[in-house]
Amino acid sequence: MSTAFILIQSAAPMLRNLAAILDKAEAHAQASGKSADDYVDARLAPDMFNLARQVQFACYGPTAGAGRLIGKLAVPPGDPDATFTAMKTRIAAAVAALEAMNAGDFAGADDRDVVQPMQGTRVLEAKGLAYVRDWLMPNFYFHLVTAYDILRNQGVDLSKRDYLGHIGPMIRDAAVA
Amino acid sequence: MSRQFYDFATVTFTQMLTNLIKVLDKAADHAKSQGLDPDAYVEAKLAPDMFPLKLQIQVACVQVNDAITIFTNAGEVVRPGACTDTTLEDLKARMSAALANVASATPESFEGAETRVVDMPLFGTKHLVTDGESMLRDWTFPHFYFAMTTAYDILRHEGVPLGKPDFAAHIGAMIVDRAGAAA
Repeated sequence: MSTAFILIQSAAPMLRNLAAILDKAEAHAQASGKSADDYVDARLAPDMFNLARQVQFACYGPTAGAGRLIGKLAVPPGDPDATFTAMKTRIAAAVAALEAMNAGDFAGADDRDVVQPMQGTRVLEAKGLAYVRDWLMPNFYFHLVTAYDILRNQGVDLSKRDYLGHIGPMIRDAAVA
Repeated sequence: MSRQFYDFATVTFTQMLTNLIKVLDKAADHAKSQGLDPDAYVEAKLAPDMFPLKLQIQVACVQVNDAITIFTNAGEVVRPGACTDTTLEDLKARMSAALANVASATPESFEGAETRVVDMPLFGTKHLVTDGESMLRDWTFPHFYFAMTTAYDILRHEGVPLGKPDFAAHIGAMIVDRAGAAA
């Protein structure tokens, strides 16, 4: 069992939750007589990335990172999306790519040497396990949560229940049980 | 796997809390340079019905302390009272206490943690029922990173100049300049 596989087990369900969050944002916009696509360029500070970029990187980080961990070349992230429809398509593709990987694909990934190009001539060098723990996980959650925070800041009615949509089966009610 | 599980939990908590303490220092410096009260950030939030900075940090510390209690099999989790923090220094002290709690947990104390059944009281009559590995992955990390990121986002929204190198300051040690290395 590869510990680095936690990346896939975390990112796939959380991205599914993000898709449901975008559905809620669309419904909220519709109910307010607005277009959800107006949220695409929303951001929390003038020099922060907009929603489209946050969604793009939330998808790109774990898929490209997983590729590096199992010895597949990462393709550049390309351009961000302009519509909710395109963002949802991107998320669905990322979820499908992540869910196509299994624990066996990650055999040996914990100890593999990973090199990720950064800006200019700089590279990030780490063993696979540290790469997941110290870079991919914080980075993934940063973009995912900031996407949620942007929509909350825009007035979309969301809660932790949406953010953690997949954990219902783990919550038991002692009064009911 | 046991040692990796211990490292995954404790290194994550330690790095991210350490980064956020430095982020609060930067926020204080920024406020002072603008003639603002740094402690006004303590109640700042992104939406009227979202938790302010102080509660994001309280939640992060609760998640860390709960995880340590459960993974070291140290008995019942302690539910915190109302957060009475009013200053950035209060919030830093809260995070320092959580850091000390993490540092007190040894790899041996985590023995069997990832496969042990977890039944943790939440709010009201609700419980989290799963195993240790799932608790860390599906409960602790999503809540912890939510609070870490939202604390950072609140301060960015308030105009504090911050960047990824502040949020993930620990990765500086993993970055090599190939131009320099080749010379």
